[in-house]
Amino acid sequence: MTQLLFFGCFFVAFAPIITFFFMVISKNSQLIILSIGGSFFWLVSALIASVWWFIIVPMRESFWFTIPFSIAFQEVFRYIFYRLYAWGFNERPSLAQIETLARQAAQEKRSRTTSAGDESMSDISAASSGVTNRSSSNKQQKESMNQQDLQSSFDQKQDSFASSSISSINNNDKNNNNNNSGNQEQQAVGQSSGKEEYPKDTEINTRLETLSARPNHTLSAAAIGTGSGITYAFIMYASILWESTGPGALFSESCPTVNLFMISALTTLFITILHVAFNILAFQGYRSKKYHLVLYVLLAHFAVSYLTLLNQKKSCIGSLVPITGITIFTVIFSIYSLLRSDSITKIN
Amino acid sequence: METKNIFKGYLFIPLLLLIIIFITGCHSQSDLINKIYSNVQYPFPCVRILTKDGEVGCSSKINGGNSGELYLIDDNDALEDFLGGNNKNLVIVLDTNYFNKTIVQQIQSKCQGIFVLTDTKKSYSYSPDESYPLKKFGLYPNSEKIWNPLGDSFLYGDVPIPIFALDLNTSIAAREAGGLNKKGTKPTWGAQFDSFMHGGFDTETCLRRGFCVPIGGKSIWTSFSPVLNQEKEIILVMVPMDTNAYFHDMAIGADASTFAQVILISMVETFSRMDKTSWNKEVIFATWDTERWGYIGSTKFVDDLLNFKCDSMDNTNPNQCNSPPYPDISFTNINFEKISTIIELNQIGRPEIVDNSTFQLYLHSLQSNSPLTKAFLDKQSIENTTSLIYKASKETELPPSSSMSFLKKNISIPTVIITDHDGAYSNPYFGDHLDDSDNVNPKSVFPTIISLVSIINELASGQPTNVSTIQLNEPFISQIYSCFLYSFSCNYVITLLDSYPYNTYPTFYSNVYGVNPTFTMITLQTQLVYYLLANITATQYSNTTCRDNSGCNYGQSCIAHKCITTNTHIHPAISLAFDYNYKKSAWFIKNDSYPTFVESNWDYTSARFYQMDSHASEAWFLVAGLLILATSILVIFISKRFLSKRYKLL
Repeated sequence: MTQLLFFGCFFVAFAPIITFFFMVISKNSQLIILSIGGSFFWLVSALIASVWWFIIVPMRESFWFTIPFSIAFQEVFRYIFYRLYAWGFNERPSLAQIETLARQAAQEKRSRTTSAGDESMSDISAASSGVTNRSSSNKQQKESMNQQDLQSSFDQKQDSFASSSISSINNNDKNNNNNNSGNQEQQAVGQSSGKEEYPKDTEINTRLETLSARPNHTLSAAAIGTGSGITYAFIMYASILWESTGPGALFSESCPTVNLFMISALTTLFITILHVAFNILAFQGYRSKKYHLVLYVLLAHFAVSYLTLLNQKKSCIGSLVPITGITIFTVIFSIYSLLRSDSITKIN
Repeated sequence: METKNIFKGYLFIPLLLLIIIFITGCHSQSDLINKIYSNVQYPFPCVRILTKDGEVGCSSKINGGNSGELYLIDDNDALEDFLGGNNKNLVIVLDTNYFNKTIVQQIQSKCQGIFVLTDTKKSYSYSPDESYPLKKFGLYPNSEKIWNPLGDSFLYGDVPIPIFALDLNTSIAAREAGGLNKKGTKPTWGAQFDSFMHGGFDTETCLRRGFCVPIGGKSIWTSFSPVLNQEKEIILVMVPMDTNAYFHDMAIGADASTFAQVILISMVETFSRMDKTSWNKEVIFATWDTERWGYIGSTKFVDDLLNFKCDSMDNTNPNQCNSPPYPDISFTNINFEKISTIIELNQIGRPEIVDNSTFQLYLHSLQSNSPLTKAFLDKQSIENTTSLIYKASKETELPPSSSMSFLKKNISIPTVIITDHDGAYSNPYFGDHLDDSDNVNPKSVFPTIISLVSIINELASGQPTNVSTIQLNEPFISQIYSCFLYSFSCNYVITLLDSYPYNTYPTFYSNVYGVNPTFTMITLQTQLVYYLLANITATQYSNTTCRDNSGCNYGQSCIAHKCITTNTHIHPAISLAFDYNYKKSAWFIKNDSYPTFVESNWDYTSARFYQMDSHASEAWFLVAGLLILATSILVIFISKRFLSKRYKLL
């Protein structure tokens, strides 16, 4: 009978995050790896928070005391993961970057010579190796990643290429393939720009290449947030969700008429979305040194966590409505700051 | 290509669901469960009994049992509303006044289960037993007589839903919750039953499948003589020990037999302090178990007296037989031919009151003018001091009684069955859980004991008894009385028994015999009766501590960890219908003319209350969930298309 409630709660709590995972994250192997990493780091922070909760025996029942530490651990691990991510990925260009670079190189070349067809292949190779050389020569003047802020502006493209080194790409042929395949995939999703410049190479498994392409920073941050969000939802909610199948339901003093499974489902829905948005914002803030974003994440995290305490005794409306507001604002804010940042590359 | 990928991705969702269900199903959140559900600490379930003809009693569904919203039936309007309604997902909270065969049969097909309340008394007399209890196993299988006119045979009815009785406090809570539901308060209260019974169909099938165990128990007999003199005539003073009720754990059966049992134990205690040297007859006191299921205890005893033959004696203990397995064969000292008198105490808890202060019991006997009945009837004329008198019953047939097992073998044994009814039962709740301490008259205890002790002493010694020599141990009697009728938690329970009962509600349901003849069960109640009788009749106490009889010298018994010498014995009470097949390790029916009652196996019985959400709000929430799913798919799909035109997504 309450299978209804179980599936209702399941879809409410998990539908957006799992849909996002399957429709966006699972399209790229590196994103999946990042999301697994995100879930691992969130688990570690939860573990440390629970150890902390466990050893401070007198405060076990006082959640107001546990929450700040738990948030602190989560934010610390978010930063640690950011450092790890930056260390692992920042030195490497994204597919879009390579592609833009290659296109630019090809345009430069075309302006000099009027070759066509298969020659463009070697052009790209030349361009790529040229970039490699240039970047290695510019290595000394390589600046911190906040230079990527400027990446989106077309004028400073050269600099941004310099900052995002492609020295790791040793095999020019492979690099070539990568470019082509990425291009084909973009054609598939409806992109048309640069189609005539790059001939199709049907030999290449385009899907595989797309899967393993290096994603941009925004998607990476979103993937990490998705990983931690899904883990959060499973750890904190799935275990109580199972009980919603039983004939009984739990009602709290704050909401005597709406059962707690539903309230928790809605809270989980918002907090999973917040996990993604927070991660995008925080990574954005760390990367571009816009620390007001990090501060916002911290404050919003605190606010949402303390608002959930209202569920216990006071009022579930007073808890859910502000959380909804914060979620909507955070999502809009993260999109807004994203559009103003370098993380996303505009197509001309 | 994009859409294709989406669908491929979604194949994982059912898989993920399965994983969630698996993971979360493995470890349950006991803390959360305790918050949602309040368990009934002492559920009193109706369990399934099987006979050779089919099923009797109740069972819940297998997984999770039955559950539903509470619906209180405490007046006729509620009953009519329920019968007129169509909601089959209700759990009925039934006021005790509405608990009878007629009403339960009306509602059983329309509900998930029934809770029977015990917080109020029934306003009318009712018996769920047969109108002639155990007619086909008695002396008069074709009798037209109706002993129990109130009986509607509900005990032998088959009910497809679980029925539980609730203790006092839970009853009050359940009535309140049902009342809240009636008022329409949200959230509604619900309940869940779990009392799945493994057995089904009939006795033969069930035994073959190994899902049932025969109903049986342990009879107890005792004598003050250290060794019975086989030459002496025997006076058998006996009571049926077990009781029955719709809810086996509530079978106090005060008037039905427990009152008589208290009288018997108190009599033995009184005799133990009297001079018995003048006795020229052996007096055996016996309480027969499993009598409510077809006189099983007494029939088994009589059969063993007449037909027992040991194929292989134990080498070390001459009192033990290995095949058939009998740990105690002292009964072979009793010669059936020598049983010269049978005095059976049946329903004696509600004696009639004549002349304002004198209690009157009835004598049922086939020999109306025998010296035995005379001894009882003369009592009043000789001693006017006693406030208990006897009157011969007008009935020509004997009422249902254990004596029938003896009379079947020898109809001429002088027998007297003492009851509180002349014709039909005066017990208003025979075979019901309401046959409790309120149903008997405690004031008649002392006069009954004095009167019976003096008569039995007279019969045993052949000399009139000086009533002044009878000294009652009143504290002992009061304690036993309250222990057996109010709460099974007296001092004797603590000092004599190894384990304290889980539920102190007194019950004398005979229980199951055992999974095989060597591994048999004995209920705490039977154990207590045995220990009491053994302690009282002990001729020698030693300080040797022991764990069981093998730790004591030959002839001694281990009672409450002390070796004592006593002529008190346990006798198996199992229907002659059953025999055990050692090769197949299963009971089977050898002779189905004897009672074939078996109880189904069950793992546990539980009942719990909880609050639940309305069906509509759950359905709306599912719709909301699906909408959120559709919306998020749509939003992601559209924004991907939108963004991929303007931004590089990878």
